[in-house]
Amino acid sequence: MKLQMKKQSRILAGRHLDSGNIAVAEGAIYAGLHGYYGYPITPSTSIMERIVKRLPNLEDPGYFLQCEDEIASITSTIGCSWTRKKAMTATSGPGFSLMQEGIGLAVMTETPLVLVDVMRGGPSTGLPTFPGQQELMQAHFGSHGDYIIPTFAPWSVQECFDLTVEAFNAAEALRTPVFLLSDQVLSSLKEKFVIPEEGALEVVNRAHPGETITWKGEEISEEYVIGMNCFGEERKAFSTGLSHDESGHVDLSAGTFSRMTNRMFSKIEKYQHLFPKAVHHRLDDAEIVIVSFGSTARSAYEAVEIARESGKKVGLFRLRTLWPFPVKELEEVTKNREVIVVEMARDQLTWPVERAILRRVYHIAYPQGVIPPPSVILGKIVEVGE
Amino acid sequence: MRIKVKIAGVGGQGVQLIGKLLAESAFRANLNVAQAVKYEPSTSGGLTVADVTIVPEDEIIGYPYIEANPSILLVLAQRGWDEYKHIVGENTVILADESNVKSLYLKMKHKAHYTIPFGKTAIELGTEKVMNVVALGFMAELLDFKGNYISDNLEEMHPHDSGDSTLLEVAPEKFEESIIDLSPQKFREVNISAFKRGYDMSMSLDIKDHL
Amino acid sequence: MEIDFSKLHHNLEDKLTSKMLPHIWCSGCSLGTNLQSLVRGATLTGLDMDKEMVMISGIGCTGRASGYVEFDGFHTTHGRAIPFATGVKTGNPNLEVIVFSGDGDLFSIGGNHFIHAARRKIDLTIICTNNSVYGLTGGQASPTSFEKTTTTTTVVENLRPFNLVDLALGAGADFVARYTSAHFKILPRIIKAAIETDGVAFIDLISGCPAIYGKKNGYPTPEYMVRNFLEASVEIEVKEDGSHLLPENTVMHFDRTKGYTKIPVGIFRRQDK
Repeated sequence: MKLQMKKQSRILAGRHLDSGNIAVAEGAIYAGLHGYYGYPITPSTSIMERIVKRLPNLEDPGYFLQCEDEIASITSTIGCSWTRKKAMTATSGPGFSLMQEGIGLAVMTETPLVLVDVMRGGPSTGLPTFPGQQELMQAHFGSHGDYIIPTFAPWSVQECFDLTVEAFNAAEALRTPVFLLSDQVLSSLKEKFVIPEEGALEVVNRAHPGETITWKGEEISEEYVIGMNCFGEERKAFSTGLSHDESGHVDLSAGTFSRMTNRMFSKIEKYQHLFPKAVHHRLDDAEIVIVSFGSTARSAYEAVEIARESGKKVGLFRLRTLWPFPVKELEEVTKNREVIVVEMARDQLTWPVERAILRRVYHIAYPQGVIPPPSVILGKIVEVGE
Repeated sequence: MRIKVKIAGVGGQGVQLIGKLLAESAFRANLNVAQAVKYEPSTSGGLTVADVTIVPEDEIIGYPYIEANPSILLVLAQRGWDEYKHIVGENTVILADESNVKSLYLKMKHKAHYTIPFGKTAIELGTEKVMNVVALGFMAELLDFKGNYISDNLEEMHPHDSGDSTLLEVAPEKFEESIIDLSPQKFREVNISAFKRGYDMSMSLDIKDHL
Repeated sequence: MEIDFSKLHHNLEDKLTSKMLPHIWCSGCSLGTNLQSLVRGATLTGLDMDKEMVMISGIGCTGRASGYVEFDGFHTTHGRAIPFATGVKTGNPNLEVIVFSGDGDLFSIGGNHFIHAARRKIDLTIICTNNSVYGLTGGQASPTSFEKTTTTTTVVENLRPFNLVDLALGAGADFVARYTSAHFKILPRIIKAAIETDGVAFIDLISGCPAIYGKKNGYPTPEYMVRNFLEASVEIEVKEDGSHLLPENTVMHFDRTKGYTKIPVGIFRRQDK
């Protein structure tokens, strides 16, 4: 789509052919993005380059800044959110690592924001132009301290758009940072996707103090999510990374710390049923269940279709919410069936899967910067079948 | 039912541009498309590949890379052929540039092969840079079915769900629209001429000569 | 003409790491000449490249340089070359430590580290390949990209760039110089002087990126770039009252349609700590 450098509308409704990164940018803009603070890092950079063309030129213009590094990026994103504006940043492995301290601050101060990690091969500088799925565990355990951050994973360009909108809604409804884990393949893969008209998708804005909002028709109770008092509004708006009470002021007592952190975990647990659900593909009569997410799942999908043609009873459980992990659902779906976990990592997805179903699973580990092709997955299906 | 097109060449030959134009044209014909790219680390002279998969609007495209039995394999450089000749299947139509691909080992089963002077034609039109668009024009004729053998090919390849293979037809007008919209101003005219020449070359060829 | 590669020799062959060559830089990139100037300058000091010198680089096209030369070296994470260098120097004060990196790596993500290094005056030599763009990642703006300039992230406008000479002077560096990569005849002497300074030495090495930045900002070919550098360079006259150090006299001028229009060059400050 060609863009004019003048007042553009937020929502470019219609059919588009473009890459996953562009879809993420447009999803954020659809959801009401105001502030973008980022740093160039392959393969997330085109999200930023799209946003700089759009955000300042909207009828209700937003603010774009290329920061001096990822540490500044995440910190500025938090600051912007505290002025009651929707803010985001996008990065990849090395940047995600740098941001961990800032992520901890966002969780502790219950700041709504979206952080997109376009995964590439790691560790360290690794494989900048090849995909990976090695930030799965880091998304849950990357920063110090106990916390849980909702983490979503798209598998197509359309889902790059849809799940970004969902990510903003979850962030605003539950006053939490939210991660979107894309990967290098999706970032540059071009596919057809559709942007719906304004109003077709729900867009959630965070509650004011004392206000109760709804998300997907459900009331978000004040018992779990405290309405956010932002800068420049009636009462003193304050928060800190230190342990604090409901007013945001420092309180290091055990009682307050427990009360506050228990609530921060509970709010995610209580409303996790509103997060994007996993997709069940041909699982009804399956004897083998493949568990996967992201672009790896595209190969698994292909393998399932080919295997079915030769009569093998195999299906795919495709995760879209990685954290909190859908323990009960996976338990039900894998009862009395063999499980094959496929991932572009040495050994990460197996941890939550094995813990959920309390047994060992078969595993295809592919950390070398390539999606495991359907032939490899088929080979495993045959092996397991025997 | 799907059409799988793999285009392989070296950096600077415009492989990505025609992958993009092909995807864009199919998209404008209201089809579902996935366009995947792969680069080698080096810039000029490195192998570049575009994989374009075309399916009916409501179908899902899973794995976006083309690893076996492409409908069309277009190679603009010897390296492209050397790297990908092993994926040729019995339904594959092979297109190779006459000047750049000197040795085509053709003992494997395939549907048809053409070595076409894409490069020479481009030079005739004024610049070797448009070799890629000439090749695109040639491919476009193959995708504009009207009873040509790609459509029979599709029915052979997908006996279960072929239905009406012309569902995957991309008319030349869609290509011309894409070229006009996506070419920089100064290349528009020569690109359109290159496209038309490639298209005419394909139309004028008699299949039997090349099987 | 058939070339017998076995008979070709590079004049600095024994100082290059031949198994890492050919390098990844575009033809026309200033980095080739810059690297040679660095090696010549280091050789002029008489120090042993193997035992007495270490070269640290960061992420970016410039960052690849440490892999190509026979200095002891290290290729760090983005922006962190200076803190790494500080660790090396304080660990072994007998080593000469050279930081060789780009304007993005040293002054965006690494900016904080630069000013702290200049403040602390732990002996370092910092050479910045200043080409005003993030080349390796496709052409985004850098902290030295000019106000009216075309990059992939300055579509709307750009904010004021750093004047690296002014910044280095203000941060307290002991040796501050600026030349362009086209001054390859003078550079080795300047680099020698920088290395021999006891304190923090900084060289703003104006370089070109004709492939990405120059193409859209007035110097589309390497030939034009070299001429542009030489024609725009103006050797400073040291004034008694120090007015040659005023920002308005050290700042560069640039026109996105023709490239550099004024590059004040020379040694701006030279002192030991």
